[in-house]
Amino acid sequence: MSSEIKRATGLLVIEVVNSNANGDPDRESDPRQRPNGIGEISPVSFKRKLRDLLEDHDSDFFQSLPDTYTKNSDNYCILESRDRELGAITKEMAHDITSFDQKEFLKSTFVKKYWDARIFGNTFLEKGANKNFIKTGVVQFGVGVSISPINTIRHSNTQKAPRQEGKNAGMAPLAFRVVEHGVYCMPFFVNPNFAHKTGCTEQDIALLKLLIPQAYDLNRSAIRTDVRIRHAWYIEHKNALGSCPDFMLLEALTPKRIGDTTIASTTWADYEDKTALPEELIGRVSLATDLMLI
Amino acid sequence: MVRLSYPIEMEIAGNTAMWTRPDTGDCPVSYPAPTYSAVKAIFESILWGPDVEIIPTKVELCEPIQYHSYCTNYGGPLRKPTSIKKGNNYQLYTTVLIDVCYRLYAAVVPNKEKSKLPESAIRWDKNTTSPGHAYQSIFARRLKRGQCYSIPVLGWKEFTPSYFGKFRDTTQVLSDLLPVIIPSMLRQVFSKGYTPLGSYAKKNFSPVSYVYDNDLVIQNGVLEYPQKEGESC
Repeated sequence: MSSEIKRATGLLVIEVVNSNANGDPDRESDPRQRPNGIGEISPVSFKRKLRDLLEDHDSDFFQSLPDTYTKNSDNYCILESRDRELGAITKEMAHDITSFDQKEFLKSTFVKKYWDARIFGNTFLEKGANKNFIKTGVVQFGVGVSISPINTIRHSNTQKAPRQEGKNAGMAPLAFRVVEHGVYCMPFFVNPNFAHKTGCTEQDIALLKLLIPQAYDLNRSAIRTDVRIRHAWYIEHKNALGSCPDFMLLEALTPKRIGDTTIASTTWADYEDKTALPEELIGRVSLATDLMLI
Repeated sequence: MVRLSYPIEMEIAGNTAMWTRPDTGDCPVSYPAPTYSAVKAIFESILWGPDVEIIPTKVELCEPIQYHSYCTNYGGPLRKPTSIKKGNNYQLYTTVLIDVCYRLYAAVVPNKEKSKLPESAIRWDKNTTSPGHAYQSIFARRLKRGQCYSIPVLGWKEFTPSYFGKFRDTTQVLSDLLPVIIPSMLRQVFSKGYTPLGSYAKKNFSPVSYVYDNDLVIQNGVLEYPQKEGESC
């Protein structure tokens, strides 16, 4: 099965409007920002949204997926789950976790059950376990950074429910912290060479492609009301080692900032959109699609 | 015995990098430049074979050293079951480098430990006139085409490169960088080298053998890795 996976280079072009795409716990949940003003979205944050989408098997979204997933929902559970139990998962990995056998591991409940362990790899390790159980993932998401610096705006929230005795209303000073406008680019990579280690299949990758377009739309919150994936480029190479340098594909599909690149943008019109791969690159890959248009 | 060595080189850049200092524990901080083993792994992600050894020789810094705090929610290994049940993912505070670009240099020499090689590697070794030379040529071809076995990363898997390939004309080495002193730098964790899969599985763990380099200096933007005994290149 794993040999059916093609190496792929991906690029998410994410527009953030009056939202906090990814708060920084180190800065009171301000939108992540670098010293030079550039905004940041961590890959951990994006992968969490994909996991959350898949975790609830009763949701309308999960039920709307193709039969291959809904009828085998036990094979699409999430390892990085809040209510996971270490002991139970350890038993799913092997009878004896002190030794490791790759063939037996691929037949284990652990591999069959957890989609995120197959696709993103895992660092799950019980004390005394063989380190071979730790696996590198087939899919790697990179850090998303904004094309231009971002402006953060902060407002205080008020609410009717009192937070202190004797008060009849509550305040959360400067709790509403959002990016006014920003366009972020987050690369991702699919590497089939690790699929035979994690048990990742073509169906797993197909599911990833179904989840990505919904990552923000079905995960809205008060602080993240308007995060739009403008493009989710998915470019398949002609072979497992790659048929075109990644940087050429990423550079060709990154929108170009119009005007002063050193100040924050205010609308999508501040960018020159890239809607297709240039002719000279199309011939070097087997397929280039925008998952948002499928 | 004289072991011929074949030089290889490549450039790698990215928006984030982490060359972890082991002494920084739970809140990892990056070294100002990649470690010996990180450079070795970057080369090996393009092409690796048990038949050869890749010996990093130096790295040139092509962007200023900039530190940045990067905090993520972490659900890492070896946590207590009770804390997992309570949903206690903890936050990992780290200090990473941003907007990095390096020119990496290494030498390829044939592996002297032939006895430990798996059969397929020994067969390849016998049928190849010069494994080091063959590796050098295949490496250059892969780099030109943008091919790799696994995506080379800047320390951590999530710190993916924005560029890897041949040297670019637009890249400039930071030759006016003031000297940066690194009193101690972890060179390798697995310095014993390649262990074939069969014995690897039996022993359960690959042999851990820490080696440190002391009193290193990034001089004029260049960090040279000291050459150890037996690494003739």
